[in-house]
Amino acid sequence: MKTKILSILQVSILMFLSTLSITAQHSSFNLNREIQLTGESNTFEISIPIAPGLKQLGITVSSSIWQGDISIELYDPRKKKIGNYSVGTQVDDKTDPEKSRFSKPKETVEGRIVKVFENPIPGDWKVTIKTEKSKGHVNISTTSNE
Amino acid sequence: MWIYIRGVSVLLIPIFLTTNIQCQITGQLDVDSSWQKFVFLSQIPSMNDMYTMSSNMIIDKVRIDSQGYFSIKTTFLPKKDGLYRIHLSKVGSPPASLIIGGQDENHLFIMAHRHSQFNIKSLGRTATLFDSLEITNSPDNDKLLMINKITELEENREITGTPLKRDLISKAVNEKLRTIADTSENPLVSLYAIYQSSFEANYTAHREFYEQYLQKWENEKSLYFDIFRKQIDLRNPAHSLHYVWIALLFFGIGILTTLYIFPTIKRKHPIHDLSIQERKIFKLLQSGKSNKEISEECNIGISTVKSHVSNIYTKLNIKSRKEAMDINHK
Repeated sequence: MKTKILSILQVSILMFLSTLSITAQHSSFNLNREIQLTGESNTFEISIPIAPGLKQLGITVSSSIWQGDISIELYDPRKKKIGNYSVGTQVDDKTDPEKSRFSKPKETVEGRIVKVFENPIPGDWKVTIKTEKSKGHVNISTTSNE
Repeated sequence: MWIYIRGVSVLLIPIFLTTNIQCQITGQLDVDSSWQKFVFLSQIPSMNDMYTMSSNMIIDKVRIDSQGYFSIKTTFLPKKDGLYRIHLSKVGSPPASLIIGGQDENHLFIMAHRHSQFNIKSLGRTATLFDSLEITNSPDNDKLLMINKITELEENREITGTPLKRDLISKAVNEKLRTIADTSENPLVSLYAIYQSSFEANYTAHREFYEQYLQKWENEKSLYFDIFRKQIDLRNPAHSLHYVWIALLFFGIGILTTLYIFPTIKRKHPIHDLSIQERKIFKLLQSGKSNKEISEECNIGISTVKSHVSNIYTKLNIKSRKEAMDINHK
């Protein structure tokens, strides 16, 4: 009987904690996305949908490339540019460090933009990424608090 | 004589040395262990490239000593003022790395030329590397710092609130930057303020200001201004109107060509499509000859004449001898 009560209690606690964690996930969302660039020229647009009532939004876009050029632009839902940067390499480097652990690119260029907004405008915030024969990767991460 | 030369040398050498030593940007930064102990100097070719990073933009690299001091010689820089970026890289990051915003923001824009000599000093430990600085001996660079501070107000989380309040702050900040641009005597400082005022978004609302601004600096010869002029020109609706006028002109030429030139070509065209024999028969047709007469004159069979006549009718898009006689083939 005692064991039965204990196991019921354990299940109840587990369910209670699960509910808490789901509620916590509801009050904030975090996006974390990595885009691998394999030498093509392309334009990507990443949407970050923001619901009304959000207290804070943090957007970080970072990139590291060893071939080509890349431009990053950030726009708010009113299409106002809120930040941008571009990085480019000079050496036409054929080395691919992801294929061989012993190869090291001759030249790497890094860029990062960090923006934090209080009471962000609800709607689609956008990150546009333009690549020109780029090899490397881009990371987009957001943090938010309701 | 030797005594004279030695005397002049003794006088000149210190002057030469002092001049060269003084032409440098010195500074002291509060750099912790997460940063590499180097300062990189990049040349910014246009205001649009302020947030562009590549290895070929880096023109100098100097070491930061244990006390945080560094010095960059300016003797290799052009005589005219230019925009430069000083930056540091994080440990493990490549020299060409740019961080915008956040606690790790790693760069500062400065103006310099061949004879620049000023000092950048960090005013104690702050949230970011270049957060709180003092620039001595360069009022123009001091103004750039002031412009940066004003621009930062727009993103200051402590004073921004609702979107409406943020809009008002943004408008006030841009207005202030335009005032600085308007009153600044240094063209580069002025243009720096313009670019920080997000002029691309505000151009339509303040077109008169930008037109007057261009007039004010019309004699300023620099790549920075050339690029700015082009950007303004592209945004100017009058510029778009030029294209409309050109398009209308070509449209008119197109109509005239269709009405007068093409029809002329078309009128000639069907006759030119006839073969030599068909043209000969066509002339005989126009002179009112019958198939039999044509057959005798051309020394060919009647069936061949009929076949030629049929071809002529098709090519000239006619149905009778009368229509053939009405065609003026000249």
